[in-house]
Amino acid sequence: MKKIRMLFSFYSKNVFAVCLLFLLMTFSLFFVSNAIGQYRYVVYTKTMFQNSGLNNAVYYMPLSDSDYTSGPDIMNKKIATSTKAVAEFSAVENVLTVNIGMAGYGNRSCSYLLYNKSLNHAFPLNLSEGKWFSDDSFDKADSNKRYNVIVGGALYNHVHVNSDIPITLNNNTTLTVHVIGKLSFPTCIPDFGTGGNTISANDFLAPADMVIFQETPQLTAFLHEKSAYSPSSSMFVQFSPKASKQQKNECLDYMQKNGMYSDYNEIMKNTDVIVQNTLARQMPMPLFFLFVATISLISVSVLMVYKKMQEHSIYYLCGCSRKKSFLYMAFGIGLIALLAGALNMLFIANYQFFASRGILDLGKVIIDRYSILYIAGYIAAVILLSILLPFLVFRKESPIELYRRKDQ
Amino acid sequence: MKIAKLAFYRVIHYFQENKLIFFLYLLGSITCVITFIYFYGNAMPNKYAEARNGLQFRQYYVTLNKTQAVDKNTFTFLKDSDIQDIKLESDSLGKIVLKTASLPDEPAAPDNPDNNDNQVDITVQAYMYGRTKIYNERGRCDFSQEELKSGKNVVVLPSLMEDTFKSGADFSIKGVRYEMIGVHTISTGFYIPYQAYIKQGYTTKKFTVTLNKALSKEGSSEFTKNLYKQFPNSSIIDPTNYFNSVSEQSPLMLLLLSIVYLISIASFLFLLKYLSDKNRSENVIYTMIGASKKNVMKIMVAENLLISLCSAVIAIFLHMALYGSFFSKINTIENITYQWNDYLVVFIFVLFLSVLTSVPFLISYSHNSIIHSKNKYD
Repeated sequence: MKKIRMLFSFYSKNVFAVCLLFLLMTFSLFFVSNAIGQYRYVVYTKTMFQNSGLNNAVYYMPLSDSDYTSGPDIMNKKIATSTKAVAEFSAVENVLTVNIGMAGYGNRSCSYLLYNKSLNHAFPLNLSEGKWFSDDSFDKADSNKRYNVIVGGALYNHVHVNSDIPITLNNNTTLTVHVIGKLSFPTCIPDFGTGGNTISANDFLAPADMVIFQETPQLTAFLHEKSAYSPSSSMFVQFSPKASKQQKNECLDYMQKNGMYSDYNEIMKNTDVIVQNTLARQMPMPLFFLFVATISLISVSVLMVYKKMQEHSIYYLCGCSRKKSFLYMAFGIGLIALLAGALNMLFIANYQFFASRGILDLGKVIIDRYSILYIAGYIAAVILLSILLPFLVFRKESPIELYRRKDQ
Repeated sequence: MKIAKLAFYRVIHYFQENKLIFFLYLLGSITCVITFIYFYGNAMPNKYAEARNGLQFRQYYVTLNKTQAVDKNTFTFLKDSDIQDIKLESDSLGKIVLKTASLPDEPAAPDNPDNNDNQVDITVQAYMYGRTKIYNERGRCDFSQEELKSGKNVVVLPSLMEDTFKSGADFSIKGVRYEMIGVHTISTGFYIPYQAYIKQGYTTKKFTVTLNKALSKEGSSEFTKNLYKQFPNSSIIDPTNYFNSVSEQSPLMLLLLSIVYLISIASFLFLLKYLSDKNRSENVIYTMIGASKKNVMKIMVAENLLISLCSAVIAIFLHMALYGSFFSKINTIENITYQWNDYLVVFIFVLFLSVLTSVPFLISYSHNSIIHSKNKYD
């Protein structure tokens, strides 16, 4: 009890300053983690695209003549026609499309995605648990078997591998599926639904709560019958390395006439701009506040040492060693930073839980164990610095000199 | 004068008594002022607008009271180097019937029920200098150098005429055949090369002047007056509304910045409290020898002002010196520039806010009687 009182006596008469500092440090750390997370996310999507092997491909955004009131079937037919038309060019080796549909899990909405071999080759997804689809995965549901799926996103945080879960397709058909794997965080999924003049990797790789099926003709037919899914309106058109320039230009002219396209270099250039803008826009304010909080903590520690030195000189004379005295003070200083850091680390460790419950979802950020490491490193550095200055002051003045000075 | 002198010696005394604490407070104060300067440049609507050089601040829309032949010679009163582009727009050529390959020569009869649903009022437009990008939906929207020079009859269709473009049928405007090269993203407006616009003899009803750089509010007003002089009886829409909107937002942003500054400096006020508590005895002595509470409070405010003044001067100097090498690189947008009046505004605000930060000290002093203060010191 006495020791606890000694430890917390550090804060007496300075409660307001300490509370303000604690709040400032906590929120600054939170905003810095969020800003770093956003930056890491855009760099991650850039790396994903760089490693996709789509250097010899263009992102084609065909324009649809129909409006959305035509119905999904007509839209799907138009998209299928566009895809087929492009695939027929001799320069085209492969057309990468994404088939996506809406579903529900519990009372939350999610999406399902049909993953084929080409998509997996270009954008392989990392698993945290379980295994990827094997070639002999069954592809037809019967009364005993379930479709194998891989789940990803905070919504499926609590789902275990090898369990069965019900998902509701968008015409209210419930389908029970068997989970064979879970995607690792961040769950960045290809989604070719966006278009525009300044396409970047960030636009067609997005985080989502997702159920992934292995694409097979039978499954496609089954889902087509049971649900209104649709291919994404845009696609990646991969050219054959053997295609001549003229053949390529023929295809590009067709795409230009019937829509828009962006090639690999353009996409990378736009992505670099996004990366730089994210760094320039997101980081300065949180870093400024963190800097202010750091200086403030160091100032508090120095001040507390000065204020408590005389008290501790008396403790020394009563038998408390200098080392113990210093440790009591160091605890007082370190606790502020430790608590602020611990709160943030706790939040990061449980972020998936908060996001899965819809309590707090920060969107396109990467917040994982590395974020905890950054925070731990920062807290360690700040505590060290905050203790170092008072230590130097503490060493300079001996308790008996202080006591004599006070007495005089 | 005496108060200022006393405040000055008090500050010197703070420094001599405890250099480390004084240095930490000064460092914290300088950091807070630099933060204020940074956010002033990056968050204030007027600075942001100036740096972004947004289109809405650079465009002037002129509608002539009657159509007239307009070409480059009409605009000799404007400096070439100031102009990004001038868009000429002809008078309405009538209603366009969608899914047809040509415009009717005569305007459609307004009471013709068959045409109303599929009709849009369309005009022919051309960019005088060809420096403006037209965003394409299909095909190409950039004219080649040859097309611009020779005034070839090529046209970029509005997005409503997508089907016409796809059909590839012959296309003509007022009986003159044009080659369709693309479709742009806006629903109205046929874009043709400037030379073709002149060659075909289109008369202009409206034009839009886009400047390279946004003018100040006063400069914009002068520019508009100049346009009125050249085109009397015309109607001009200038960026005045945008300037007014920016001016309306500025005080609120300044208030928010002040709150941010106050929160930041509050984290360091305990340092100043420690330094001033050490000099509590001086306040007691001043009061005992006849100084009124008001005068002592003036000294307390003056010393806070003096420290804030030093911090502000050092911070502004540091910001100016390191702007090119460091601070410009961490701006949220490019081209933010700080003028002397920006630094002056920051300086004045910092001094004013430092007076506010003295308030807790003044309240604490005013509530205590002289005996209470003396006992506290003892």
